[in-house]
Amino acid sequence: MIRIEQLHVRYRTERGEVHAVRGIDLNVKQGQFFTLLGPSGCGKTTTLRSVAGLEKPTAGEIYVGDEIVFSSAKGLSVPPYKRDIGMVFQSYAIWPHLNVFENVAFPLREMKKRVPADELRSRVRKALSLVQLEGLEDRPAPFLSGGQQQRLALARALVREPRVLLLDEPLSNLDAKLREETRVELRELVKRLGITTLYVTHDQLEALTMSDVVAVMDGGNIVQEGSPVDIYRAPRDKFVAAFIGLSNFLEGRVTKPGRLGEVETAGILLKCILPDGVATGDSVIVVIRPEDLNLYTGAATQNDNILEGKIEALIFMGDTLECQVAVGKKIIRLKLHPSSPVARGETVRLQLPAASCRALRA
Amino acid sequence: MGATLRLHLWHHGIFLLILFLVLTPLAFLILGSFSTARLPGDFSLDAMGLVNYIKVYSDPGTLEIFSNTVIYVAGATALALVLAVSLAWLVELTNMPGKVLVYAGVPMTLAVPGMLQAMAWVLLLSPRIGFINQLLKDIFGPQTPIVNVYSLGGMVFLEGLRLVPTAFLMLVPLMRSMDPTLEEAAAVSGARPLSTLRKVTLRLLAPALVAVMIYQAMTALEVFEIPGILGLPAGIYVFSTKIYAIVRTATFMPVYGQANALAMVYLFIAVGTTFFYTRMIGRAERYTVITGKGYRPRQLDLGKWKIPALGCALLFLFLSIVLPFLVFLYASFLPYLQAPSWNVLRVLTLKNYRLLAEYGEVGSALKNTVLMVGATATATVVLSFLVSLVVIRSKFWGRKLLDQMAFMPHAIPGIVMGIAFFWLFLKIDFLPLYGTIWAISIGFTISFLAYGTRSMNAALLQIHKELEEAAYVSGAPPWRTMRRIFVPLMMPTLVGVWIWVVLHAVRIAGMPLMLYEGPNNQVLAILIWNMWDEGYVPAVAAIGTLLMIVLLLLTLAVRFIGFRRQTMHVGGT
Repeated sequence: MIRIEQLHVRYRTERGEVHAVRGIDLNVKQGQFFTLLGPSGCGKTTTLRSVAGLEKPTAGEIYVGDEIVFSSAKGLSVPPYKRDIGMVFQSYAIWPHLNVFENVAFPLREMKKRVPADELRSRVRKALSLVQLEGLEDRPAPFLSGGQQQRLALARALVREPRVLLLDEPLSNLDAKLREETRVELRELVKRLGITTLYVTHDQLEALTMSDVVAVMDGGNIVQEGSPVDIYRAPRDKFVAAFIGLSNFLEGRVTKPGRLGEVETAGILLKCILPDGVATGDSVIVVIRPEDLNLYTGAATQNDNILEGKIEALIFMGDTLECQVAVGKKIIRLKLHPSSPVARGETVRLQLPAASCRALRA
Repeated sequence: MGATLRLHLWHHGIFLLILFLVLTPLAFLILGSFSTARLPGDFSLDAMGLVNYIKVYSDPGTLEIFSNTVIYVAGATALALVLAVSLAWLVELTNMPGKVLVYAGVPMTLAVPGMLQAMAWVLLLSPRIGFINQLLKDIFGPQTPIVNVYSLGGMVFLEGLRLVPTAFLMLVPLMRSMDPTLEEAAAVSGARPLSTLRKVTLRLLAPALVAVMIYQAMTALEVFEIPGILGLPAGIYVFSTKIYAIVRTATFMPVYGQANALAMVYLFIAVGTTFFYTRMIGRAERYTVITGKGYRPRQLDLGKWKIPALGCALLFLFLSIVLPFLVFLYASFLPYLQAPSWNVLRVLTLKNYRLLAEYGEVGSALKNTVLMVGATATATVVLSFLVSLVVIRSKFWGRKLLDQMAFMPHAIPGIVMGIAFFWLFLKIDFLPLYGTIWAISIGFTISFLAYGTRSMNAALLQIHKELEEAAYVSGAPPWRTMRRIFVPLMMPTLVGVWIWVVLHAVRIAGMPLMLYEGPNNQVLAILIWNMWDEGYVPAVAAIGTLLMIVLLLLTLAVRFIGFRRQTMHVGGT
């Protein structure tokens, strides 16, 4: 539904030229919830704005539906008002001089074919009821709460029933509790409507909980694309592993190649999953998530992949207990049940299940 | 607690002082308008009546003053808005080259006093002696039509130019802070660029544009110097010049009460528009509730119009600042007034500057000006600071009223304030203020209080309450907190307001002319006015050249201090 090929965006700022997007390709299928995830300045918003036509790319091609909307080779650039899209801005961009009804009616009034008054009213009502803002039609826009403004912006983006919905960090200005509720609601709504959605966020939790496909961006490139589970369980490089969730990193050298190989690290031989094509002696980084580690205060039930250490710190976080264990000079973090019977200074053994240890090329 | 009590006494003291300073002159203005006595000194409550009102408003000439004033104010405001919107749009939303020249140059035009600008244009465009008109006659013969600057058109043109910098400085932050996503949202909603401009951009800017317009119209209405220099010689009166004429240039015994009666309508218009203005500002602020953060500025590509656009912007700067300065510089080296030609080069002289040094009145006027301006600026800064401290930082019961009192003089035209003080100082003759520079100083201080307190309020609001509280818990009593926390943090604002007041007090002629008595309280603005009146043009040019240089340096100093925000309200003549 949205196809981007070899997209490059460069622009000039006071501080010089910025190469914001460096040749990305992506393909969002009909009805998919596709998320661009990355830290600020990674080029995700620029990519989204290029799809909307608000940013003029330097090179590449963009298709929305079957229609080509941008092509540097053909010198073609369809202006935003002629692209069939709905968009929610980070600031919501609610027009303060119009009331709720008129904000939503605006896109309908701009349609080529005039929408009859009755139809206009019923379509605005429908859009407002989708986001549960019925009854606020006459409210001046500045008198809405942040959550209401966000929903109004969504209603405005949906009212024309566009083929594609573009969302630019729409939840980042909401408070934590509301954000959590809205995450679920928003995904359910667009899934129910079956609308193709391109979503931009820097929040990994949003990306993991809402998306069908996540593309992690860094420095203007897509570094990994896949389902949320893939991205979390099998990060392809250190950036992705560090950016999404907490990870422990152990540097080492391969001692036995193969898919399930062995790496010498932290004074032991660690069995772990190796990337394809590494040979004995290659440097690697082993990644293991804090929730995958087992901790033993007495003797371990297994003998493989055991590290011995001392508990340096215990941080109570409500639903979990974060435990920091010093193994040599290295601190390894793990998540325990909050009622685990451990104490600071205690000597413990950590067991690293081989299936959860993934080595990345260093 | 002792400290608390002292604090409250101090609040009351400031409150009463401001109340007295603002309300007494107004009371005298109103009472004077009903006085049937010829002279303010003879005023008594027994001799009251409506004679002045009947006399003034039954005069057919008054209707003409009304229509002149409307044409002049509307014309100047319209011209200024068109120019200022275009300039602000060019520098903020297009890729015109050389923007730095406009950003730096437009505020500089404030440094040229209105009086001098008007005089410069008289030298260029007066029917008899104007350089341009003489040139036209030399080329096309004596029958050729000429441009007469002594006309309503001349007043509209000049005041229009003079209003541009303030409007520009108000519009630039507006255009800059406008959230571009509001326009982008319209684009992705299917609105074409023109439709976006009409339905979103202009609608969003509308309240602010109206507010700027009203502010400019008020300024035009109050200005005395432009209609004074260009209108009085031709007998074209507007409100401010008519009041001056009644008091100062009447052929018979002046009838002071009539000036008061005329000033009353003027006062009502000014207060009414101020009320409307503050309400518009409120609405404009509501519109800016939803704003985005820093975005990359979107700029329209002007293409081949880049250079012509810059040319137009530079032409404005040339007409507003370069040309008046060059005209004065040239005239200041002339032995007697004549149009530029090759022959003139041979007779250029420093005589005028030498004359200034020898002419005693210049020295005393200079001394008076320095004293008056220094006292005014210092008093304004101290008083505004104290008022704002009470308004923003205390729980004093009358702080809202105090704030309004301090703002009210803003609505009172300088010339009306002049009359009010004229009556006040003549009546309270137990205080020997009438005819002194201190009278002028007090008048100006009250006039500038509105500006001073607005700046200080804004600056004080920026200082987080906890900075003050941290000083208290560290053991600093209130006055030490004021000295060690507020004063240093507010230093840029204090200095900025001080310089702003100096810049304005030195060049406004309206109120000092109403309070002018003789050499004892003659300040520079009055001296220039009188010398111009008597026809010492080259000498005026010499003083004017020097004054412009000093004011330009001061304006540069304001910018150097980085005192940007306050320029928002830089206005006046």
